[in-house]
Amino acid sequence: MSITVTTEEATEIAERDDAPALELRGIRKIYNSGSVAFEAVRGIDLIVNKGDFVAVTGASGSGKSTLMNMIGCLDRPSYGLYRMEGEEISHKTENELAEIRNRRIGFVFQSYNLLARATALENVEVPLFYRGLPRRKRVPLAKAMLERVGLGARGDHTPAQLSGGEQQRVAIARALVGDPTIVLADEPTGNLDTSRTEEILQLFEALHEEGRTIVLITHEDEVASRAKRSVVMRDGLIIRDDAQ
Amino acid sequence: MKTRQLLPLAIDFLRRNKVRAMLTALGIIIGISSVVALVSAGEAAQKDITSQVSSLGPNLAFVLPQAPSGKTRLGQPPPIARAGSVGTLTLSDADAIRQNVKGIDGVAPELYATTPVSGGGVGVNATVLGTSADYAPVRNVQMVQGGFFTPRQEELGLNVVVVGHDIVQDLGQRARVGSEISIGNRPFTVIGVMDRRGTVGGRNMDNYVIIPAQAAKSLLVGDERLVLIDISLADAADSAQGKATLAEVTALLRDRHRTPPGTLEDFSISTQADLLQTLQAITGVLTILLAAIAGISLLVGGIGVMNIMLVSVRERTREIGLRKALGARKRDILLQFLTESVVLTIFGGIIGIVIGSLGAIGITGAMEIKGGPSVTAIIVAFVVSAAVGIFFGVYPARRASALEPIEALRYE
Ligand SMILES: Nc1ncnc2c1ncn2[C@@H]1O[C@H](COP(=O)(O)OP(=O)(O)O)[C@@H](O)[C@H]1O
Ligand SMILES: [Mg+2]
Repeated sequence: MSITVTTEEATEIAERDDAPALELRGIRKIYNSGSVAFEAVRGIDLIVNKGDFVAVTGASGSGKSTLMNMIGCLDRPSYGLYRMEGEEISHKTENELAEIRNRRIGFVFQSYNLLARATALENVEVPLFYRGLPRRKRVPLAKAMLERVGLGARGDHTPAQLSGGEQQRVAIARALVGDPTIVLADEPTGNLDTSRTEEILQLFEALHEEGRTIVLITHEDEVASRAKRSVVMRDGLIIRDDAQ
Repeated sequence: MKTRQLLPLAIDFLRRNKVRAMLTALGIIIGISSVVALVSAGEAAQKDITSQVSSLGPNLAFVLPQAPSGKTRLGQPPPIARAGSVGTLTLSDADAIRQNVKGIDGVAPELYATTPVSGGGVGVNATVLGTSADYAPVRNVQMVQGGFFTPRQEELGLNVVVVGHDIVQDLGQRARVGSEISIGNRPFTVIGVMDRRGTVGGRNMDNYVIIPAQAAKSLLVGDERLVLIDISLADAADSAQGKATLAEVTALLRDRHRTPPGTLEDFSISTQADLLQTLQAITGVLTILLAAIAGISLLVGGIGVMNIMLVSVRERTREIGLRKALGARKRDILLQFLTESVVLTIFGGIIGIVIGSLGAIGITGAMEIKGGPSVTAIIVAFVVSAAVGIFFGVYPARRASALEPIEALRYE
């Protein structure tokens, strides 16, 4: 008996392999707060290829975070098509989205969002915990990642015992520990001074050189200039994109 | 995520919030410890009373001066309210039974006098019982010194007394055999000291001074009213022979009390089996009562747990959002909070079991009865504390798990 592969399957496999990391088509997000509906993202087309380092800039309120949350599967688009590595995301169940967030996305927040009562090491372990890894497997991976961000010696410190820059590096280690397809960072340097910002940016540049796909939101031009591609948003739309 | 990994997570969280965890568990601790202590003590008391009643032997019957239970005479309060009250039985009733009814080994009336007792001028707290010489064999009284009074001494109307263990302890030499003690300002010669008898039905049997019934009667101001007539039958009370004998006693007393045919008698006869049945009914009610009290205290404790868990969910909204952002599924969050509340209540339950067991030992010790913590109570308490954790933890845990990741992350 010969193994037959349908054309449909074949295309899908092909799509998987050389599909872009992210593909957004006509993405819109409408917030319904009370009686007023507000369209924060009003139709965005965006393709991010594997290995891209994209900076999204734009004024405050232009919809950057809204877009980022949809890319990160924290929020669902109201309209539009979203594919990750060629795979349709829009109709995934809640559990499937949790799995995508866990395995394929590394999120870095402006406010670090570390568990205050847990140590740096424990914070980095969290994504692996939800992947079902036992402690004995989590710890070495988390330790290695803390070393990678230069905090190998601070694993037993709680966030309160770390500076802002160090906390953000812990958060980056946490985003990377699960070996995600794409790293998303929403104003990761927004709370940091210039020299801490520089450390974080060097870290992102090193990640880019390793071949990671990175999307970084910022409103600082110096930060944006370090990315390989710049996307500018205004009023819920992309008004400029280097790639085009 | 594997479920067993949640346990360290929950324990860790509670360890880092010790004061709150302790205060929340306090409600459960109080509930469980009171359940364990009360149920254990109740069980021990029931066993104790049952064994005491059983030790009376199957041949014993009691004539009580009140209408048969379950039926009341018109215009009379229900018999339970009159239990232990003094009614219509007299010493001559007891004599009549002894003289006229065959198949009876012994008859001991119980007549109590409330008169002061002293030895060598030293007062003592004593219960004065007047009865017949039959009392010793009927109630299986053991002597450590001297002997019980004889029918002969009774007939002669001698002022003799048999004293309990505590009396000797209190009066020492003044109550030894041969010395005189004063009962109701009359001298009585001590002729015997009883062995320890313990507490029966909450009554200390060791501070008894026992004198002939006629002597006791003469100490009383008014009519003699017997509390009880003990009858030792030749056969078991529930055998055909025993029943026939008791029917004869009933007929005799009806006749003596001039009870018109077809009306209820003003006395009742109960046997060991009757007493056990009554006791079981009473302990059954007590058990339900205890269970209700325990249930209420656990309900209060459980509401405390739910309250704190709701506060905890609210406080940790951002944490929940973050965990979801990092890949936690609904189920993971649900189980995380549920594990916390169950660990909390089981922790409270275990402490409660320890305290309750100590309490049970203390209570049974104070009641001077055998028995420690009840195994049934401990097992039930453990299961219940876990169940309380689940029952009162589900709602907060569901609320936590239902949070949208982005809404939770934005929460301030
Ligand atoms: N949950 C929400 N409900 C209603 N409006 C929102 C919500 N989140 C964001 N917005 C609005 O959407 C717009 C875009 O917000 P955001 O994406 O946070 O912008 P940026 O990150 O570029 O500053 C803003 O006007 C903001 O007020
Ligand atoms: Mg923003």
